[in-house]
Amino acid sequence: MKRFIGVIPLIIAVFLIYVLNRSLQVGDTSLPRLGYFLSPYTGFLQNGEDHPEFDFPSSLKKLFSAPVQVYFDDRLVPHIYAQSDADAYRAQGYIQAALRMWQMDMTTRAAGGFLAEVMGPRLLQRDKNQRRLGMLAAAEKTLTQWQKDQEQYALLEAFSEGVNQYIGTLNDRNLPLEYKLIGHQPKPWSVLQCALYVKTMAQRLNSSEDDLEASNTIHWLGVNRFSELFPEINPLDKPVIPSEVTWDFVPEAANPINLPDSILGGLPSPVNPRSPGFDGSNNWAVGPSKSSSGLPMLCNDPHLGLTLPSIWIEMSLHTPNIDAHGVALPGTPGIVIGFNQNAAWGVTNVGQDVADWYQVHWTDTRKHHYLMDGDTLEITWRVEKIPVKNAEPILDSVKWTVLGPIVYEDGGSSHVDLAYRWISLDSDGNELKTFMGLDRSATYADYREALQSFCAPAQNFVFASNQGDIGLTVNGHFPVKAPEVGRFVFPAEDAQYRWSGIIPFEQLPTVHNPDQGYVASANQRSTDESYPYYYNGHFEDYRGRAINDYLSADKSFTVEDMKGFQLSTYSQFAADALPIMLAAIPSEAMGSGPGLALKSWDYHFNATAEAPIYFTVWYRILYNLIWDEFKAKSESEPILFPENFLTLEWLKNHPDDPFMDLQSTPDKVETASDLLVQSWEEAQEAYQSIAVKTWGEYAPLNINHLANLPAFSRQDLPTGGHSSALNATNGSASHGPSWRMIVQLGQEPQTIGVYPGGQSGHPGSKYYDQMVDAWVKGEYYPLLLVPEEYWQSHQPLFSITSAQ
Amino acid sequence: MKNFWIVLLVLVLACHFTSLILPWWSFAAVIGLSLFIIRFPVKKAFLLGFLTVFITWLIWSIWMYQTNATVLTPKIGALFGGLSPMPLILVLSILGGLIGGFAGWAGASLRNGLAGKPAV
Repeated sequence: MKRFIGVIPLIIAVFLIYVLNRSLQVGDTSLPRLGYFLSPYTGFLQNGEDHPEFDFPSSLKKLFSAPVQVYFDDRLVPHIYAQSDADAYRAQGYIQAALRMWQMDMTTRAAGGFLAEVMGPRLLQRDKNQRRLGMLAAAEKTLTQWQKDQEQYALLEAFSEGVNQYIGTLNDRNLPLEYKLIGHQPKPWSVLQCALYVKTMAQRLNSSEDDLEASNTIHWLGVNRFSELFPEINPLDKPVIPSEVTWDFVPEAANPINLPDSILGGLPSPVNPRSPGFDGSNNWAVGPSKSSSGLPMLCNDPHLGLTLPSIWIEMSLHTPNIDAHGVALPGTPGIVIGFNQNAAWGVTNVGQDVADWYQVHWTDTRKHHYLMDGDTLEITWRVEKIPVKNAEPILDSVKWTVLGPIVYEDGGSSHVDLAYRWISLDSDGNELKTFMGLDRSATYADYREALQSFCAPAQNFVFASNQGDIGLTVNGHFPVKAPEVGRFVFPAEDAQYRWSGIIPFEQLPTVHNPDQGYVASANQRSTDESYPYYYNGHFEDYRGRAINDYLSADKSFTVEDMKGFQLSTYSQFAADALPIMLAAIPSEAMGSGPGLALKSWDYHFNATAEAPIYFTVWYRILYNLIWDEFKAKSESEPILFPENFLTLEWLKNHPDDPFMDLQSTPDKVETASDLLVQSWEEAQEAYQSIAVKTWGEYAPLNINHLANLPAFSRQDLPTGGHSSALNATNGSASHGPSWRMIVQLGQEPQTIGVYPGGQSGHPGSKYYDQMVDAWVKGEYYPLLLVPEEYWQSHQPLFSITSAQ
Repeated sequence: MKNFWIVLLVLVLACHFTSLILPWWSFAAVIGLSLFIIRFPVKKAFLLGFLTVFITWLIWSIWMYQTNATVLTPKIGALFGGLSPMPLILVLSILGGLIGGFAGWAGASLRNGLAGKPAV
């Protein structure tokens, strides 16, 4: 007995170690292995980075064909000098991984449906959705496409080698912090992950569609009412390609369709819902005639979900073929948005709809055969194997038609089965080659050449060169289709509703050195109605007007002006809306306080202003009163809601529309002016419950850590801006300008830029969120594009070399 | 008593150097084995084990924090219920100490058990 008691402390000690060495599940969160994580010898204290340190591992040094030098500047931006392109990308891969490994890993896991493998079964459904949407299949197909260009593929392999060299240096002590927290390890990197990166950008930017909602809505409203309330063109819009451009080609034919007798209604919620923020951006370039210095200027600020680590990483690449500086997507080689000695380039998203749903007409009860142009075709199967943490992998068999995968089936609540036709599943482009080509481009011809291999996500590529050229191309793969195709869910078997081809590169909307002296895009429609091809989509209505108004003014601009435009919180939407709203309210009803603030408001969503709060609250109430029928209908099925520009037009020109009548007052018929007055009264009440006095406090911005850990996030940032302003910060959606860049091209490019994050993805580094405060304040940093000799007379933060 | 302090010093050094290379819990084996070989009453063995790890972790944590982790430690503290760096380090050192304590107790009690002596 005594001997038995003597063993008890041993049992306790072993048990204690066992428990503290395991990742415990508490509710939905899994705790890290506490003993490991808290031990100063293995845990978080090993991840301190007060003084970032870097070196090339000796195994990597051996892979370089000639010595590579890297100088980190005072913001931890690496300036890579290599003798060959492959060496530069190898070093880029290594450095991206060293700074952002966990982010690269998780982003590609999320894209390809591999999250459950490390986060457990609660992410299984998300993984399944990604697989059923064809993300992994598309990435694999992309890989085979890329392999056809061996020279280019070798560069992607060099990049991947660099990443793997970093992974090779990891052990349980120097593993990046989040790996320790979650309890997983990076797997070897391959070019497939680069392809997944491209696909995740395509999904984020180019898969926006509302076919199901539109079908439900037209089914509910009828064709006539639908066309009235959901016009495809906003007459106030100023398209990306100015109207002075004419089209001298014969388009590929797409015969007009007959709308089917009845469009499907009652469709379920989409699996691929639109992201909460509007993934938009601004870019523009001014030619010598519009520039005070006579030098072309190019500006770009892509608006994306803002996270820590940031979606961008800033880098400088130098080889005998390349001298480029700008931002890269961690996980892909090259510079995506940037400049070189002679040229600068940037992108904004194209809102054209390149993702459509088709109803599949089965010919057998097992749903193995379907109709296509009168023929019966058999589906093909793709088995998705989804690994799950601490469990057996799940096998999901997905049916594929010639159009794409059947995403809605079985588990879904749908009464129809839909095939997903998405341009990115074609995977016949080479997007990274485009960016790698832009990095090397000096002339307008180089720019056009580089664009050709780009498939998706379609972007408005802006370009400027020190030869004085400016240009903008709506670039990517776009389907040839008849008017109305792609707006609704159509039957798959009928060819008239399908895409009949891809628009040839030479026929894509493009503009080169226009008379107006500038080019600009802000996610508005690509062209005016004269463009021979039909397209539908989701377009921004206000930023495009604002930037065109600024740049078309009869004056020339400086870099300071450009900053002012990028930081402008002026909302064309508010400027259109508020006068209509105020006009309906008798001045005695305006009162003091909010009423006074609104009357004197200059439509700027400044962080310190209070009027933006009052406007936002009032407009929301008004909108909900006008479209109360839609609110009610949306409770039973997903539908479209009228856009803001249409709402304003209805207030002005259709005050007696039946929709103005409130459903809640059957004995009374309201008109627009009743709703304006009522909404103002309700707004006054709503103002009482608002405790804050500034827009910055009312709509603060959170830049959250990728795993949503508040301790690693920057929250409640008092930024100004609005989704309808050029400074398109959207606090509630954690969305906004993810990179601001202004380039003036002369003999030497003069460039400034900033992004709301920091170079290091490690929360233990002061370079993790170093630039956030400057970004909030609207400050910029000079961006250096310098030859290696520069560092002989300037002190880098530190430098590393591959020389033995 | 002198013996106690000498053993503590040796254990602290042994614990430190083992932990630099071996898994985080390796100190427990070192302490358990040492106190199985060197005979101590169980209470003292617990104390020795506790102090060994507490001191090692405390000193090493403060060193790591001061030299390279002043940015990170407050964030980890926030993650663990809003602890400031020093309280966080104290808590983790006590946790390490407890494991060390039980390891020491286990070593001594096994030794006493095998020798047929009552655990005092």
